[in-house]
Amino acid sequence: MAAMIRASFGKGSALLTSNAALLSRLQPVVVTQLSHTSTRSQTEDIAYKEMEEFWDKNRRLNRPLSPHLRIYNPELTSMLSLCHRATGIAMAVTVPFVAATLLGLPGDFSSYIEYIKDLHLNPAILTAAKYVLAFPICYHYINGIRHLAWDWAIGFDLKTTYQSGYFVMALALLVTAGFVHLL
Amino acid sequence: MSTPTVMKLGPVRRSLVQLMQTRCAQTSAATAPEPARMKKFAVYRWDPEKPGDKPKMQTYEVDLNTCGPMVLDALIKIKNEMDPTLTFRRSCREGICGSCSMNIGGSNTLACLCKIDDNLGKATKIYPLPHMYVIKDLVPDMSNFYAQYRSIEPYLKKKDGSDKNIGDKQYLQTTGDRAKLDGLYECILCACCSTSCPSYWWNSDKYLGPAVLMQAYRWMVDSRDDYTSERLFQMEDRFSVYRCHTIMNCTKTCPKGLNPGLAIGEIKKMLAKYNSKEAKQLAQA
Repeated sequence: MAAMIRASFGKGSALLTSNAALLSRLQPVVVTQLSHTSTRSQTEDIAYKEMEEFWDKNRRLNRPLSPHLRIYNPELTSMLSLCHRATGIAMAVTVPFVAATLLGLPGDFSSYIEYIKDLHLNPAILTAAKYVLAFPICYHYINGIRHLAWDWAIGFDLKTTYQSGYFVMALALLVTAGFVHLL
Repeated sequence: MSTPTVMKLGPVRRSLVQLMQTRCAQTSAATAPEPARMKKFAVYRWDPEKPGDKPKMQTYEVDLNTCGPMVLDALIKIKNEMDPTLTFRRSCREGICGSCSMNIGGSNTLACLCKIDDNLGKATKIYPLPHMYVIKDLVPDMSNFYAQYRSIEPYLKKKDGSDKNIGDKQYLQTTGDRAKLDGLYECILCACCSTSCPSYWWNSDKYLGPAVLMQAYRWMVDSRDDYTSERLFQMEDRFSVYRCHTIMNCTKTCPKGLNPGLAIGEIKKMLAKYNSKEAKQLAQA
């Protein structure tokens, strides 16, 4: 990412060049960032030299990168992981932002709830908004428990991963519906 | 042979001749050709020798009636009969060498183990392993992957100096300890798992990837190896292991049914539990 920005500043037309050329400029900044560089064995030295040669050679030859995101099958594993990351980022951004905004604005949050009530919006829109607000925290929390189990190396075989994945998604939707309609 | 001649033969010879005559009649009747089952294969093509060539998809039609059941059979048929310039790696054709790993129908597998989808209405899409530099057509540059494997020192290391007299004595191991290697040693280093990992896509320079990490774990957990702490200490940085976010695409895609995700989870557990200060002293001694 940093290399991309550097490339675009250095050569004005970098962003206009083909994808392959741009991606080939994404060479790593430092290949070896290990804590034990002082005690590397000969084998490791050869290995890291080979890695540097790999990046130099492929950049020089301007080889294309094989397609990845646009061709890979969306699997339950990767989609649930993406959802976990997306809900996590969404909450990490909106919660402090909303809290800071409410802190700065006059009056407490109940006056803003009154304001929204006075807008007399379609109840369907309000329910949809409630789903959007409730789902991230429910899903992220329940999938978080799945992640904690993984940290103890529990439930890693494929069958359990898939079963727990379906269970987490179903439970998250259920709890979200519960929060929206019962609270 | 005419019927009077046949009837003069002894019973055994007569029955044999009658059987042969029936079979010949059957074969000659069954010469009506089966209707061709044409399957489309859309294959990623790129030629480094053609200046200014851009990667593109090329579609081939293969008659499944005259082709073996696996995708590799179709690729070889295309190369033999339709387009000799199609380039791909292959060797054992039985799923043990790891050469023909590629992205078929959106998932990474071995072409020799992947059955052709019988649905004639859909084209099978074949791409090289994702997010790898392409040498030509379906051949990726695997040097980085192999260098990362080399960096974990995938061989037995002893501290008692017995490697000076290698072969003198067997290194004994209990059946329980040997069982710990099951599910780890069978890896054929096809790179399907590492190239299915989005984390490896974005950080293939510093993150080792599931295949290499599973082999690192294989040596950590081998009771005959004396360098477990040092091997764990090698992983003490932000990238080598900890770019794994348990996405679990690796275990889903492994064509040999292995579980790299579990191995990485166990490495993380070992990293949490082992004595890192002691290992640092040992490593820097």
